[in-house]
Amino acid sequence: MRIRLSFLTIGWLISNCCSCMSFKIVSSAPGENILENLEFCPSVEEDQGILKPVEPRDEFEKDSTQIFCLIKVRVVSKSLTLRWKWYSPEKKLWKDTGEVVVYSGNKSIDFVSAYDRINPEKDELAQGVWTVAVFINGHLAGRRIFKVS
Amino acid sequence: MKSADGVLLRLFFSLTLLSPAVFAEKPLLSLKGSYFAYSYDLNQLYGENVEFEFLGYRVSGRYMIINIVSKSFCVYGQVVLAGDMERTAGDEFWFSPEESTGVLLTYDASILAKSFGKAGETTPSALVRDIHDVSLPKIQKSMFYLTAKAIEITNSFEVYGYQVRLFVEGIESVGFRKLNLTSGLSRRFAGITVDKIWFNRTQGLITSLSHSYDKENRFNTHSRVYYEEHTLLKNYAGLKRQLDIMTTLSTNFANNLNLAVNGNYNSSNLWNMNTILSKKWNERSSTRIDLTYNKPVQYKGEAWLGLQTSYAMNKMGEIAVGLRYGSGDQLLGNISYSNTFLKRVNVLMTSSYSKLSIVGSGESAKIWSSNISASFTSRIFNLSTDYFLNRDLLGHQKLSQPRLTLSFNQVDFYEGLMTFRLMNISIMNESLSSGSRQRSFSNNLTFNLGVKPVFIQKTMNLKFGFSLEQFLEMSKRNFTSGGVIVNAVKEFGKEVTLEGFYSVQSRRKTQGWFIEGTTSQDLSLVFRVSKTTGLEGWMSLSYDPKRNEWRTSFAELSLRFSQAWRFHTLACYDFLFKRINNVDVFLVREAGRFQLRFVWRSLSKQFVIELTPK
Repeated sequence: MRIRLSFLTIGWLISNCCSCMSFKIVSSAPGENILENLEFCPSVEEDQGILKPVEPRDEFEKDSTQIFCLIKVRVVSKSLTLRWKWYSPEKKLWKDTGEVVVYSGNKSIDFVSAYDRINPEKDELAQGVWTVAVFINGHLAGRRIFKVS
Repeated sequence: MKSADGVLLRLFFSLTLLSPAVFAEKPLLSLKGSYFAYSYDLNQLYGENVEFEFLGYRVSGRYMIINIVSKSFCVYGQVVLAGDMERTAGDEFWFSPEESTGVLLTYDASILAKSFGKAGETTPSALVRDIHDVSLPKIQKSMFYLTAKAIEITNSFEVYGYQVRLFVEGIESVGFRKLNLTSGLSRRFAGITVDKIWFNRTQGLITSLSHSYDKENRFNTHSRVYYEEHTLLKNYAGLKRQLDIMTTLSTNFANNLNLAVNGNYNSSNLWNMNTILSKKWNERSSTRIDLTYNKPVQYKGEAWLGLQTSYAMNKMGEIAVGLRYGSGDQLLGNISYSNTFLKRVNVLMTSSYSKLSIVGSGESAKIWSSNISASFTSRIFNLSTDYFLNRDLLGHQKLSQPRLTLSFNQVDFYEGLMTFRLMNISIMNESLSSGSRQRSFSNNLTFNLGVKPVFIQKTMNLKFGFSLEQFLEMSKRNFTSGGVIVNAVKEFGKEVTLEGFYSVQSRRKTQGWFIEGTTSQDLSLVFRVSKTTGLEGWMSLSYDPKRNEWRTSFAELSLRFSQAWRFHTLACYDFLFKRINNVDVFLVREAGRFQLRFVWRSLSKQFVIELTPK
């Protein structure tokens, strides 16, 4: 009885295994120009050729004199065009960088870090939730909000 | 090696062999794309160049993110909604497949929003979440993540992948033609599922099956069958086999009427059944009727029929009544009333009666008890009084207990540097039994004085606390306790601190001329390290100044050596016996909704692998 049950269980597991599992399936790979990071910070620093945020945050004071939006793009080849659009709490366009060509070589690069910043005048920064949309090669690749209080 | 009931193997079975439900549901959403990555740890999905049908539109976009936990769906980057007659383009499309609604955002001179589908419970703007909640790099750092070429999401939010490849710690492993990606430790599958088939030397062959059905939150049922076969084991002393069946069913009718049925059966002749019908008449009143049958092992089963209702009368307070009648002429009844007067006075009155059979004697115990309590709160003090009365109608015993509590709110002196608290509780007990009356009285007074940290240096502060308590009984026994606590903290930079703690406690009992008591002292030192590099730890030393001897030492060390793996150890040394009491060593992998731990415990000399859901 015990042996019969054991064989039955093993047979059932093997049949399940064979019907589900496969070693022929080839894994698909993600595309290029993947936005890995989108962060806000009051300043940036360079470390071994890569820009890094200093004290990243999602909340800024009303009298902040500069706000950086730093991005990190993974796997870049051929060309990379970036664009930042900053929207005020009233959802109106406050700043548009336009298309910025960052890279147009033939070699593949592991990472590209780049930023755009705003330097508001005193009392220019409206209180509320601001939105920044980042476009890579013409299509929206990331969006993030920050709060001004 | 103990493998925590084969949890890892169970996960493997869930992930690989057993997860495809026998009866698959009709998909809520079918997605096609060039690449999909699903994180088992986080229950999140990322897709590229995605296409799917939604609300009669063919939706396409460059990227897609889905968070199964928060049920948020988004397509972004050159989004196009193509219908028979219209074609709309935008940048970001958030939608709810459950509520058939969506919102398309376009980043132009302003952020434009266009709604699609019917107006559901969720407003279109509430659908919009943070895109960064889900990202491919985050998914790829998961302990288990899977890639697929097509995805199906069912009504119960199970995610099925086609042409799936499993990655463990980023290393590519086996592939599957079709797989339920959401297979988890606590997820319920629609249809019949084999949860577990396992054999171990203590329980024998174990089988667990479950069945679930859910229809639009109106009707849902879940049943589970658990079976253990012990005849395969040598020298097993217990029952040859054991069967457990558990079932729950709940349905929501219209007009706030709900019905729930729960049932449990165990093959050792134990079962119970519970049916509950509840109705919410309006915001202020509700009624609940329940019928219960319980059959314990070796005893006769009994049935109970109950009715409970509550009614809130605005300023007149709230009243609740409950009545239960059980087989064998048993009865349980209770009534309660609560109200707040003049915003500061709270009153609660409860009364209950019970008549319960005493097993084997053929008699019933009849107990009546009541409680009235009133409290007054002010900015300076709180005063509360309550009166408890218990009457055993069979044993002719009566217990009454009036109590008065007066507590002063914390008072701050010297701009909050010193704090002071005072509380007094007076209790009187009176019991009447077989004509004899017994009375006792006690009074407890507590006094606390605390000092906020005083900075002696920039990096050193001192804290001081004093407490005194007096407990007086009617028999003239008098207990007086007092204690002083001194706490000093010295910081060495931001990451290292040394903390010293000294306490002396004394307790004295006075009865007539006789005084007795004890005094204890404790001195301990704690050394803490918390480095941003991932090293965290502390070590404590305990010393008894009264006996002039070292007691124990504890140490804990945690070291993060990669983004997800952590080494952790705990140790205890006993100075009295001059030996290490125990050492526990952990290797921990934080993986979103579960945690994998390799544990070695010196006390039990065991190595354990634990897979625990969060």
